[in-house]
Amino acid sequence: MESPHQSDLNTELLSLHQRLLDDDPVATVDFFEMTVLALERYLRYQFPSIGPGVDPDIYILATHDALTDYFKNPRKYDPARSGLMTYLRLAAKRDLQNLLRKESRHAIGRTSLDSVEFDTSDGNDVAEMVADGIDALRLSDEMTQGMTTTERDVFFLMVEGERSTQAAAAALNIEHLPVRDQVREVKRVKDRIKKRIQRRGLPAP
Amino acid sequence: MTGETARKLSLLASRDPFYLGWHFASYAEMMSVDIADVAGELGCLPEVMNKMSLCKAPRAEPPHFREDIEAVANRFQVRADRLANLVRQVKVISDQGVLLAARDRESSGREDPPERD
Repeated sequence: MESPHQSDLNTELLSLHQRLLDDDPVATVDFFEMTVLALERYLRYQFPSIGPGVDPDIYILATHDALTDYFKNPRKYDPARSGLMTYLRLAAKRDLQNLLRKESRHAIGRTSLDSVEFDTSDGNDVAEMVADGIDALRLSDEMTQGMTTTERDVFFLMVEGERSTQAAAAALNIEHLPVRDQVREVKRVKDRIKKRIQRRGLPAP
Repeated sequence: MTGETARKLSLLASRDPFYLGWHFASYAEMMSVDIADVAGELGCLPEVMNKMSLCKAPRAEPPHFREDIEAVANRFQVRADRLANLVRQVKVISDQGVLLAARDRESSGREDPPERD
């Protein structure tokens, strides 16, 4: 079961989604207001190290790109498949990975031109981040079938190897609650996910 | 959303005709004025215009154009007639630009016809 707060957020986002479909020109502003900080925070949490020389505004750029792409094609989002926030998080993550790949290629180009010995550590970091993202995106429908949007949000974090309560609480949008309540709610959702997966005979993430 | 985040997003929006911010930036360029001057012309603070920049650009078709302009004007408390004029002027100039570019391409095509075997 979704928490009341999470359920309210989903309802509000779906109402905004409908306004986008109805061509309300102000809906985009309300979307930015409601999601941009949460998406940026999510990206910063997922990719705390972006490498030297990379514009720190890359997080906001990726967030902007993901939201703009969604605004231009709102029908690409299928409410039956996932929560809107999950959809936007994955889109923002993909956009950030693409931007980091571009940055990495530029860095390689710049370094080659200068004929300086190239340290590949940043490139490898990017490759690992991209691989992590692709793994997350390869989740089969079977794994998430029957899960609520809340469970899917947390499930994606678990698959990505993110175990912290803080990250799950952010995904659930319950950071305003006392820590003890956050821990209890995160545990409840994670246990439910594990049970669902075990019932399907699949290994827990 | 903080004022600084809105400012950064409005800069990004100024590069994409999908957003109203692109129209504001184009108008400022056309008139050789600052974006703050455009805000003054619309009767709002630059901070308000940063957020208004994130609106979807109004649809071009007459019944929808008026609806969209009014929706934005009501939300941000700016004069609908001024906003409509600004968007129309940008559209006229950008359409002319497209026409001129097409004409240039056409005329340069006439001057240099492709060689035949």
